[in-house]
Amino acid sequence: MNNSLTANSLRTALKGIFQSHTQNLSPTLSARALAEQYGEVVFAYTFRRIGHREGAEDVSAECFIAAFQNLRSCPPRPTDSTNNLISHDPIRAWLLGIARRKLADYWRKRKRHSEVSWEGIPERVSSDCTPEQIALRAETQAKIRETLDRLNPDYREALLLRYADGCSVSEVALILGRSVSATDSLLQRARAAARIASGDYFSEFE
Amino acid sequence: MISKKDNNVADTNSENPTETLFERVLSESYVVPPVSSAHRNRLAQLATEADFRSSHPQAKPQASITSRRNPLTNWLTASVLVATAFVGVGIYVIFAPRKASASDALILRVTSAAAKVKTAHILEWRPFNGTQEVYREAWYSAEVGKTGAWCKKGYAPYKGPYTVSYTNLWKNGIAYYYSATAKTVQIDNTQYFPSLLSASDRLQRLYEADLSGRVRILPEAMVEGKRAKRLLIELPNSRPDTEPAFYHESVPLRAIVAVDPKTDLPFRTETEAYHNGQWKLVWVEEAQYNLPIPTEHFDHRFPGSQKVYSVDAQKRFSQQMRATMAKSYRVAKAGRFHATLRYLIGTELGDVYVLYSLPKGSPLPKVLLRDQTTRTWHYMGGGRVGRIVPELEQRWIQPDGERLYTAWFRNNEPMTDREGGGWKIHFHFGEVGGGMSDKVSPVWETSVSGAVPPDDFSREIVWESAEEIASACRNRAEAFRDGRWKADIGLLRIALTGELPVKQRAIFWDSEATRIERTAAELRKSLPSNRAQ
Repeated sequence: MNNSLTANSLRTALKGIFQSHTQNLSPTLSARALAEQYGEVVFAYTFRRIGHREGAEDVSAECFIAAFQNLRSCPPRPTDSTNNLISHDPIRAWLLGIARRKLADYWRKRKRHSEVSWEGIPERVSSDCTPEQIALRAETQAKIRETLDRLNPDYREALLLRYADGCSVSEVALILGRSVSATDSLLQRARAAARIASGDYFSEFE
Repeated sequence: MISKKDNNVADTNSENPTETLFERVLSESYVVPPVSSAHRNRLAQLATEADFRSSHPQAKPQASITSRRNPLTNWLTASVLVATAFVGVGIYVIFAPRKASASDALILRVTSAAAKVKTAHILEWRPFNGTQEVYREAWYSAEVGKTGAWCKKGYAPYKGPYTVSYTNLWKNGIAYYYSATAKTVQIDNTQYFPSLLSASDRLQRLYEADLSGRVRILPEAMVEGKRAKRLLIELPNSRPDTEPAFYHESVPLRAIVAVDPKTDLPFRTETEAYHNGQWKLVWVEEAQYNLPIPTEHFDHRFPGSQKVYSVDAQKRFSQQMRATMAKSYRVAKAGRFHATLRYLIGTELGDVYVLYSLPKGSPLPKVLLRDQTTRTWHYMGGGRVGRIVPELEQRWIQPDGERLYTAWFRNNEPMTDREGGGWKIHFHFGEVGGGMSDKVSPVWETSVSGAVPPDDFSREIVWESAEEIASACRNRAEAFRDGRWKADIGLLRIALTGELPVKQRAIFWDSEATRIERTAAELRKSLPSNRAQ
């Protein structure tokens, strides 16, 4: 059966993994530890969706304020037997879920999602890149962002969570409030949509 | 064999080319800059407060964070806190940031501890030019409207006996300003004098603060042989309230406040100003708390032959000032510099506004107001020399192609005999190397007495500036009454938890606004006669 794991069996497996880790929980995080360990994660999440530092920092701060006020609902942090963090991090998922709601508030106040422009990030230029290559790469990246902006918001969010934010599928599922299997299906549809919308950018290995 | 789908679900995407491609493309297209230190500090402050509140459930919930906006506007927090703490405690107040940073747990504890103080003894010394001069010694009581504060100003080697120059005493709602040198005392019973340890006073000082600044917590260190928590308060651009016009323009200020970890009370603050490319210590304050106040300090029967003035002297002075100088404007020349005195405003509060213009490109002069009768400086610029009314400068006034400036002289010195004798405005151009006591030798010095230009714009200046001040005071009072301060200053509520009912806390503001409104009305009435002259 290993080669045909069903979603249910996977959920059960994940649940089992989670439960086993709950027996080896690290102590509840303080607000300060939470800010130190996840400050960059939340900022990166908000920045990728807002596109400029000021808004990203404001939303990030709002997210942490809400988190600090609800520390009791912060999930425990599972570790493995050697006390190392495991890849599935429910605290990160919990925080990004809050950030997602704060982000929705942010856009609701502005009502202009489409006017967002990406703040230019100085690129590290290697000596073997010509100015033309750098410009071409920047243009390509801008087109990819435009492509994702045109996608169904659910597709866009799932793709960003999975591939830009580096969340596991189970974390994406937690953040989006879906089952793991539904999230997996969503990701498949999102990838397909991205390929169609972008032309060649996501077809390298097809 | 594991299917592609299952591979995804199992989060093992390292060998899946599709996953790898999407990950590479999207991560490259959504590059995120590193977190700024400002944001990191902001989160740390929020977290500190949250942790503090979780360990102190009785603390009030945190106000919502304000938008980041201009970093310079984030001020009313820590400063206010420290101000609250210090102000409240009589230590020199320096502001607090406007947003959540003001809610720093340490500051909260300091504020809370300061609110419980019964008495405070403050010693302030100013290390001008390498010397250590006691500038002020003060006792404060928390008793509202009864025994207020006593303070001496004088000069001497630090921690040695010193000569008292002035004594200010607030007692039973009356203010006594005693000059030991002139042997005069001015009595002012028209103002509301809350205890300088009261919530009302602390609130006022919070509002007086620029509402923009920053506070950080420094590592603990030994201060004066004692283990201390430390706060760093930074004011990017401020005007140090040191000697008159010690600095021509706004300079960065920073204060390091040492807090006793046992009592949570600040016991020493060192304030530095950034000047000529380096930080320079400008004053130090040391505080002791809950000591019995020496009763002799609150004896208002001052020695020597006394002259007692009421506040009517200030009003008369205001009238005399205008009458004397309402002739024509004067141009003061000093070497290659010149300044044109355009207008002089004396308010019944005793403040004097000197409106003068300078050619474009001219350095800002040090401006002093001098009483020729007693040869003493009666008004201190308080560092507030410069463009105090920039809106007016932009909108209204470019007289003769020159830029208009305003020097505001606060009446914080005793009023002496103003009968007879004139007044002069002194302009000092060039480097200023020290305070009043140093008899700084300016490169260029000139003086001019009086002037009211006959042009119409002078009237506009007076009206606008007076009304603007009145409006600002009104806004303060109204913001306080209608609760707008809650949105501005999360910390203010902490400063206000205690002593006074809300209505009483607003009295000072209300009173001040009313007084300045009267001044504006009075100026309006007086203008036609001025113009007739």
